[in-house]
Order: sequence, then C-alpha cells, then structure tokens
Amino acid sequence: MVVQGPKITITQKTRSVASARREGYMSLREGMTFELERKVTEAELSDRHGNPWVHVFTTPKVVEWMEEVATNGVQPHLPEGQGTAGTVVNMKHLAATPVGLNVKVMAHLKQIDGRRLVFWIEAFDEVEKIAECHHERFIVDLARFHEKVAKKRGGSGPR
Amino acid sequence: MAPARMSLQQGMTFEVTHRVSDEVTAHHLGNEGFHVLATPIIVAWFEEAARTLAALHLEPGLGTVGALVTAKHLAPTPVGMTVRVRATLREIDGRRLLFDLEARDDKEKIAEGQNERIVVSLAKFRERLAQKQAS
Repeated sequence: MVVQGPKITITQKTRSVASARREGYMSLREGMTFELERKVTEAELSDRHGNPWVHVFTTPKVVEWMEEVATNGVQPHLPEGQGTAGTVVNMKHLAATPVGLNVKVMAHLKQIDGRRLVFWIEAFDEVEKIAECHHERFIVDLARFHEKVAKKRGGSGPR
Repeated sequence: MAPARMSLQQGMTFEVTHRVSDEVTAHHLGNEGFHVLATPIIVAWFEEAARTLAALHLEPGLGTVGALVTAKHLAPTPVGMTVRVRATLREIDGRRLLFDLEARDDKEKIAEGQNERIVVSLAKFRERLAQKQAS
C-alpha cells in the first residue's frame, strides 16, 4: 500500500501547535501522514532485549517507533487535556536491519471513527521495506483516564 | 534447512512475569501523561515469552526471529502491578512457529495477541545481515 496524502511535517511549519490545539481535533484529517527518520543504534538491537546473537533492530523497538510517529503526529491536533492510547498493533516484520542504517517510519491516518484512529504504518531502512503495521489508537480524556487508572490501583489518586 | 528440530510440541506454554515500573510506561516512552504499561512493552514481553519457550527446545546454533506480532491492548495497567504473560505454542509448520499470547495484571486480562517466529540458523542469519550491511 502506498502512503499518500498531505505531509503533516510540512503543514506544521506554517501552523503553530497552539492554534492547532485551539481547533481541537477538527484539524485532524483522514489521509494525513506523519514521519520519523532515525538511525538504528546499539540500543535498538535484539541482543539488548534478550535475544542473544540476533544483532538487529528488534521488533518491539520497531513497534515503539511506529507508535511514536502516530502519537506525536496526532497530539498537536488534540485539545489540551487529551491524548491517545494504543489499542491495536498488527505488525509484520519483513526484513532485518543491521545497526547504523537509517530507518524512515511513515504513519498514514487512514480512518477517523469518532475517538478511534486507524493508521497504516510502514518502515523502510536504506535498502528495503522492513515492516508494516495496522495500528489503532483511542483519543482519551487524560483526567478521566487518570481517574480510571487510580481506581484500578486502589484509589491512591492520579500520578 | 531441516525442519525446526526439537522437542517443541503444540500446546506447550511458557510464562514470564514482570513488575510494571516507571521505565515501562507510555509516559516514559514519550506519550506524556500516560503512566500505564506501554503497548510496545507488551509486545516485547509477548516476544520474550514466545522466544524463550522456543529457545528452551531448540538445538544450539538455532534461534528464532519475530515475523509477525499482533496485540490487542484491552485495559490500562498502573505502575506497581505485576503482569503475567503466557505464550502457548499453537502451530508448528516447518520452521514457522505460531504462538498465542495473553497478558494479565493483578486485576484482569490486559492484552491478547499472536506472535509468529521463524527458526533460523544463527550463523546463516548473521551472514545475510553482514551482506546487507555491506551493500
């Protein structure tokens, strides 16, 4: 699947985070694309995460970067006091990436269904496509989320 | 390569247990304000449980790499709770292993998913990787 649509990295240069916030998630649009590019370092390798001798960009780290792109892309479009929580990850890890290569992660906001956001995310290293992922996040009210979590902890208050 | 060899059998389970510390929260990974267990960490624990189950039954020189992972994050888990992740080997298809995963905290089921792993010769895997690095 080809990632299409306006690149938010460009849009954000012409619009302040504060004004995007004032608009609420009215400014969030299906088709928006968010990007991140970063070098794979020793910290992202599998052997640092319990898989000895497999010296490559580890799957959970790829997932982490994918969620990061989606989360940070959406955040400026949310009103103060709201954020997003990840609910679904369906990720195919297609190829191994050695340390030192640059990885580009592109998240495409496919669908806005009320508070549910559906993303298609792809990751490429300098040689090939390394992963693709269906990802869903939920827009939540932080105060209410804290309340719910505090209740679950046993009522010791938000932290 | 010969089929994944092993004492691995369908239905085998393995469990890992982790305490939720500040370091594994979504907040710590950059999603400000979410002081709960992060989804990518659940994915990491899923893989840990599946990988360890496989590793215990593979001959030396073989390992597994993750090919597919799915996770439904069902409920938030606050810092301080303990999470148990259970992997069940659902399918063995040559070198391909499919695991069912489930995570529970002190109160409830918090996540479920699957992990597909491929059995690889570590020497061959490293060779291919070196080729990519040099290209």
